[in-house]
Amino acid sequence: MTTVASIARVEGLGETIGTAFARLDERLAHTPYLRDRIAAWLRRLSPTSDPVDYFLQVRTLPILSFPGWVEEGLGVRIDSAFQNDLAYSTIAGYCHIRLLDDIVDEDPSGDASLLPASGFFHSEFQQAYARWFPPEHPFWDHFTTLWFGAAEAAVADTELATITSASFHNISARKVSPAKIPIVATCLHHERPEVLPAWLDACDRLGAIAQMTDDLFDWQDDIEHPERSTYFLSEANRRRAPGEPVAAWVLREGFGWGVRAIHSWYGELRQVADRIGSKGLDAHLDWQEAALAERAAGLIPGYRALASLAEVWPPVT
Amino acid sequence: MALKFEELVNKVMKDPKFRAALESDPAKALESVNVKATPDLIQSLKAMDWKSVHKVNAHYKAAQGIST
Repeated sequence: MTTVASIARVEGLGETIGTAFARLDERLAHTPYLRDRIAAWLRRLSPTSDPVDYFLQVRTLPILSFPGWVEEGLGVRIDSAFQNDLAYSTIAGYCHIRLLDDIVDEDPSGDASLLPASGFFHSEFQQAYARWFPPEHPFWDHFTTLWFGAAEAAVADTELATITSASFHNISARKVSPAKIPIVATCLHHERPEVLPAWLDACDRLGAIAQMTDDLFDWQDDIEHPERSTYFLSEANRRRAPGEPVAAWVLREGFGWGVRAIHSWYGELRQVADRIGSKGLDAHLDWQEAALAERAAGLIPGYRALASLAEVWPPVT
Repeated sequence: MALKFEELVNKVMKDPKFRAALESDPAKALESVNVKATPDLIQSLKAMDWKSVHKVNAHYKAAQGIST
């Protein structure tokens, strides 16, 4: 759940995001139809109609915070010009993916007539890095591997009928590949490639937590759409008693199982975070894990109450 | 056709009128969805912790961005 109140928890990003949107507006100055349509779409996404607030929301996968945390972990001076380019690129990349995902997922905010704008977003996403990395720089190998991996995962995700633990972690890691691009850029910009594996590992783990959290709290919607396979509902099918409805297992013990699984993943991620040494990441994990516990505590008594009905609900033949 | 358990849970979450009816007059609410009101079912619905169920609904609506 994302609320406007949670926006205030992200500090220091507002100015960077505001600068990115001013740049976006400037880049679209000569294409007024495109600019107006994109602006209207971004306003619709935001809880306050201000696109800046949309990107200030506290998220399980904090795509805009990673580069600053990496610099903090490296103990280097914050490079504002570099950070501004990364934030602009990340916002453009997010918009590119979101435009396509909303159409694929048949989300109500999807707008097929806006699909041509994906070309603009992709161009801006990639071009921001050209200023910092010449064409022969190793950064571009990482860029293509990560970008293509995300496309592969998005396609594979729609075709899997059931999801195992192994396939879940594999796909969730590749789905967050675009978020790794600014992490790679930051490590290579500061000539510290040796810290890259730990940061990419942290990003993979956060990606799995983000995906599982979504699956866990959206299970009621997912169960209505059999074409949507999730790891959580795949586990529900494997773990429920013979003849037991999937919803009955979720209410009886599955939701609690899912919450415990995510908490254990946070524990493993904290061990990685300890090696990285970013206070920003630590604070984010503290806040996110507390939010998970609070949300779960609000649901579990009601789920238990509903579970009691499953035992007496007549089977449908 | 009678309601599957999954459909019941979704209806309880998404249909406030049905949820209120199930709480206040379970037999009539069950009849409206072609479910036989067995004594066990009526007993379970009357003993239900509805306060907690309403909280689940509030969380669901907040997560979906639906105003209350």
